[in-house]
Amino acid sequence: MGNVIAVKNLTKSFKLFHSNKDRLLNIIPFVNKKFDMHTSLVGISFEVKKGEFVSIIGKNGSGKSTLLKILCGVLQKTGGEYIVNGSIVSLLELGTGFNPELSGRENIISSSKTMNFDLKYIYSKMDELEAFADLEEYFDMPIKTYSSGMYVRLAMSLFLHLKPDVFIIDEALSVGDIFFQQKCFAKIEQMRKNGVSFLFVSHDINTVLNMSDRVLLLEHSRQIYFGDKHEACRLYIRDKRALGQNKIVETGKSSKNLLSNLVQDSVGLLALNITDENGINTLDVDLGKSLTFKIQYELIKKFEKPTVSLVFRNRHNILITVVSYQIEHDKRYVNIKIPFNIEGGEYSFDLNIIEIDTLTTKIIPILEFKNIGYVRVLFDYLNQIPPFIGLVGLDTKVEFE
Amino acid sequence: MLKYILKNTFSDYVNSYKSSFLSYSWVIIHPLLLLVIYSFVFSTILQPRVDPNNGISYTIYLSVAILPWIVFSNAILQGTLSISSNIYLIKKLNIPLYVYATKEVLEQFLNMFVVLLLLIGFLHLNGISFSVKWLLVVVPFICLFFFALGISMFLSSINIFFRDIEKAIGILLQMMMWVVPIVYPWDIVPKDFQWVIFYNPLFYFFNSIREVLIFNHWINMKYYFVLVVSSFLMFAIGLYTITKLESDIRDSI
Repeated sequence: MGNVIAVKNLTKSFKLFHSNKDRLLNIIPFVNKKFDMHTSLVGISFEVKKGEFVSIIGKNGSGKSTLLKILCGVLQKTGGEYIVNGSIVSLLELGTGFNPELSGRENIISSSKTMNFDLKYIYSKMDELEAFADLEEYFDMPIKTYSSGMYVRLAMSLFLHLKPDVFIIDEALSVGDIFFQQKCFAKIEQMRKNGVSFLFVSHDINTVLNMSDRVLLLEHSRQIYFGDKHEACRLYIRDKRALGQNKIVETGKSSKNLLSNLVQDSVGLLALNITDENGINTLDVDLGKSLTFKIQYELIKKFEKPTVSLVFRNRHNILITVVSYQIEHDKRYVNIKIPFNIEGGEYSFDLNIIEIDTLTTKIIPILEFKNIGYVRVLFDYLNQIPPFIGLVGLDTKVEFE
Repeated sequence: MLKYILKNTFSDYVNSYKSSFLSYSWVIIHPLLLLVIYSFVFSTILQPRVDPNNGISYTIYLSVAILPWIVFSNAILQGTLSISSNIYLIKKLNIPLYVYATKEVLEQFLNMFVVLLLLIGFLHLNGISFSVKWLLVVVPFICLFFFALGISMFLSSINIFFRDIEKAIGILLQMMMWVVPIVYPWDIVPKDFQWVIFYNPLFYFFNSIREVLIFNHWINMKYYFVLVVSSFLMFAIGLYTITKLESDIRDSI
């Protein structure tokens, strides 16, 4: 497979003029030029193959954004060369050309015009796009009536339905609620399967490790490393000595009445209460502490192996775990205590009642509650040393002899 | 790129009046009000000084020049702001800078069609009917567009580094209106000052429009020469400046 992007020895420097008068003189041909140079990228070389996911990491001011802007054509290079085969769409452009007076639908069209997207293609995708944004009647109302979350959803769904060769993503992806983020990540995964290449800029090492094929590490305008993601992240972390940027603010959201009763003729889920170790209703939990899920159920019909299951997913829509227990017919409540030895962040959960067929070991869903809410695992990564690094802390034992 | 410009100019034009109550009628109201003010002041209050020959009323004499002038000066006004007011787009999109200036000037020149219709109707009411010679004015109008585009590209790119330009351009255009001259006949100017008028290329644009539409004259070849050369020169200077400064502008916004 060929390269979609090939960058060779790319250099960018900004001219710093002493005054605006010097700058103006500079445009007149054959006038000697007086200015200082400030370099912000030196000798960058890397390539992105078709369908590859390449991440760019580095501290603030290391030149990541400048690099992306050059690739998009927003800034012009000073030296070296780069080739882009195919079209680039960048999330840097998110929400460009939106007019508050126009409706969501009209804005999709008008901003596609501004960004020079293929209008016929957008029209053909309009229904899919509308469903993805999930704005219901707001889709045809002026976007000045939108909340900021709705605005982002509209903008994101436009971008995620384009058909570029390269897709550039930056921190913009970490907007919206967790359910929408999961939807976005699922869509990205799908685009990747269709052969779209990705360039991703982030500070979030775990996301980078999760998604990338290769990683480019920049530091002080220079390229430190390009290649294996684990090596790149190791070099980055060693330098940074702090992992993750997700600083979580506590809010103490209550978990009362999470379920509206759902009773089918065979089975009913009546209530779900989530409490922490002190018996207080909450959805926030400190890392390493546990939450108790108290589920009230009713089995009307006789089942062979009725099972209650809790499905946890992180914001990248990755399945973290399914906790499932068989429930008994003569009981009304089940209490499940779950220790959250997982990375700080938000986790959505589903509550299902399923039946496992003993003969075929097939799972038959009986009752499903999707995305009831989200549990927030809290940890101050900035000021404390985490007990583990990565998604999950396993229950480990150590012995010395 | 041309397709992009046309597509966006049109949709911007359609959307630009969306939030104003009188919407598109502003295209007509604005020039009409100016026309009323000037013709009242000059034909009623200052009557004796202005005396256009051949029995043509002052209002007609004025309208032929001032209506295109309003479009022209609006085009330059908006064109000068075309880069500074679109910084948020320029920072994000890979679209050459000249496109923004062209879009803005073109959008204003779309009004020219409306204004010309108004003008033809007005002339008709005053007993001046259509003649084939009127087709001659197509050349001055096309040249006027490229002249405005050239100035806009030049000023809009310089304006990024010297924001004084967007402050000064309004009053400079006002001054130019009196210098060209738009509101009074050029031959009443004292002989000693007439060279100022003759050295100004804009005079030839508006005078040729006047000559054709009111007096039904042919346009002098010398006029044509001045129109074509000056508008081409202006356009070339503007395009050169904006492409030369493109990298610098993108670096500094």
